[in-house]
Amino acid sequence: MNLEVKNLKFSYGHHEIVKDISFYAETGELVAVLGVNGVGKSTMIKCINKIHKPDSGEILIKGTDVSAMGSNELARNIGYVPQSSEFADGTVFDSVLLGRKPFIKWDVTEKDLEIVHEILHLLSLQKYAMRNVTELSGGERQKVAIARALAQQTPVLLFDEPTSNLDLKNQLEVLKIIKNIVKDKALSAVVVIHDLNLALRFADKFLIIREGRVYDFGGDEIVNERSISEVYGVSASVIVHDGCRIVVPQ
Amino acid sequence: MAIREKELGRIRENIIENNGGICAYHRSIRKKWIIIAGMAVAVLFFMIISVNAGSTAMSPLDVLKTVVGAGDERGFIVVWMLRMPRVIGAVTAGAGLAVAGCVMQTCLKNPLASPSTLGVTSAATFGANVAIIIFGAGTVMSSASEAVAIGNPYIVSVCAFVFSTAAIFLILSLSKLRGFSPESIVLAGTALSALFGAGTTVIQYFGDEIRIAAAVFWTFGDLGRISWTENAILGIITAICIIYFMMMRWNYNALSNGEDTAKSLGVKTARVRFLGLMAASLLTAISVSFMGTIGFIGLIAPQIMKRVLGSDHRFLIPASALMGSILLLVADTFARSVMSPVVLPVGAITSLLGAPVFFYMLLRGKRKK
Repeated sequence: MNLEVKNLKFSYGHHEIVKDISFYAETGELVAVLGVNGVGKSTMIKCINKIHKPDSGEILIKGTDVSAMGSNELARNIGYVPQSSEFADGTVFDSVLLGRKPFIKWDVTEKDLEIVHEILHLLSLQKYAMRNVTELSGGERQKVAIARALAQQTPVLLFDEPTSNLDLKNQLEVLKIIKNIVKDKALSAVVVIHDLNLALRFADKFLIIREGRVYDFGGDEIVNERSISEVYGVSASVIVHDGCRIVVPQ
Repeated sequence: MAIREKELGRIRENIIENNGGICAYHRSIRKKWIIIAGMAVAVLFFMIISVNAGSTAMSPLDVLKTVVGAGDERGFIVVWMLRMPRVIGAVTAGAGLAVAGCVMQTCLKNPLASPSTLGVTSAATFGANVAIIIFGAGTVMSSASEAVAIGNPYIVSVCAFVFSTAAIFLILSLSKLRGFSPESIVLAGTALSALFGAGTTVIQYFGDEIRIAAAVFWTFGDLGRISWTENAILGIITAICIIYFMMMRWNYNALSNGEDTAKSLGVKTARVRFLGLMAASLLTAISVSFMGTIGFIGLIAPQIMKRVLGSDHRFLIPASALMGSILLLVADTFARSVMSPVVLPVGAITSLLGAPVFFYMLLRGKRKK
């Protein structure tokens, strides 16, 4: 098992945001984190890679507790793509190369360059390699952010709403890339996502959060009329089309 | 499984064969180092021009003879005692102020941050005023070239340094309460700057005119005040800080891509920001204490180089240092030549030349790719 989260808790001052969350992600699995705005999904993601220090709980990567890891070691184990990635003025190649930072001693090695080159090919970004990242479209920049996280070569990847600013074509493309990479490279990904239909199409497991707690965790069967009504307060029917579940709000 | 491995191997081979991206990367790196090497040559060129410039007429050949130790005694005094200390001072102070500005802009995520943002300059000015007006270090000395001079420059430098260092610790301690967020540091710096500015006004209000004149004279940044001893101190501190900043260059690159990204790449952001600002502020404090206020170098040099080389600190730090040296050398040479034999304060020249350059960069917008 690549990732195991046990009894995670986090508070801002006296305000408890993440309340005793537990879940896991097997190798090659994509876990979608669902829930309404402000229930602590992004905060939980940031607790997993210690951007926020959790109050209590255990996070295990391949059985090793992350609390025992230094910041560099943690960066070699967990890659993270924030909700809106910032980029400094520089080329796409340089931006992705930054993902090698946890491995760089004094300067980059040929191995680092080859890894970056391979990832650019994987994400079809090679033609933009020497373009300035600030000149790219939102979808292309999101791919660069994913490429940067992939350059860290970690077993676990965390994505905070990777499709929030993208059009439909780019949403599908980005999630397909994440799904394929997770499968091909035997990684685990945790993706915070709002679009239930995209989640149902690409995720293997679902973590539904309500008021900072786990409402349910499991396969696509947990995304049903009852859970949608109780978590989102919306009436919806779930139909099956071409073997895929689709949520139709009423 | 074996077929898949074979296929992956073939893809990998194709990638290595078709490594256009890596070649282009190497080319861009080479180009950047060539620009930096060119700037190093430009620094040497402007040093030679600067050593030649001055009110005492000396031919370039005489200057060269003196530099290699084959000149006369008069040449030795002019070159080695008067001109060379200020030329070396311009190179080190320019480099120091520029890298300090570069690191402050990155750590504070503010392109308008400069060595004066944290109130270090205001604190140093306050310290100098305390020394000159309260401790009486500003006894007026009349000479042919200067109407007002500082009687005891060491007390002034020490006071300026003590107050600016105290300001650094106060600002960083205050901002620690808010986890060293850029906003809290800038707010604390602005508040402290206003406080020291008010303190300076109060001291000057109660001072006599001679001492006030000496205090005002001190605030004009002047490279003529720097001796070989001060050059050695400034040179060593600048070299140590530049080496430290270069060691941190990947951390600064990560910080430029946002707080969360930096943390996820293993950067201890609060620590990196604290130590970077501390080193940059100390560098500024020493420079201001020895030479007075020299504005705009820390703001403009990194901004120019960002437009030329981009935000990669592997190149931005050395290039900003060299650009700072060039700007200060040119400003000082101009200050000594334009109204010779009168030497204008270099701080006024850097501000005078710096403001239009900054306006130009502002109007021109981002660098052309």
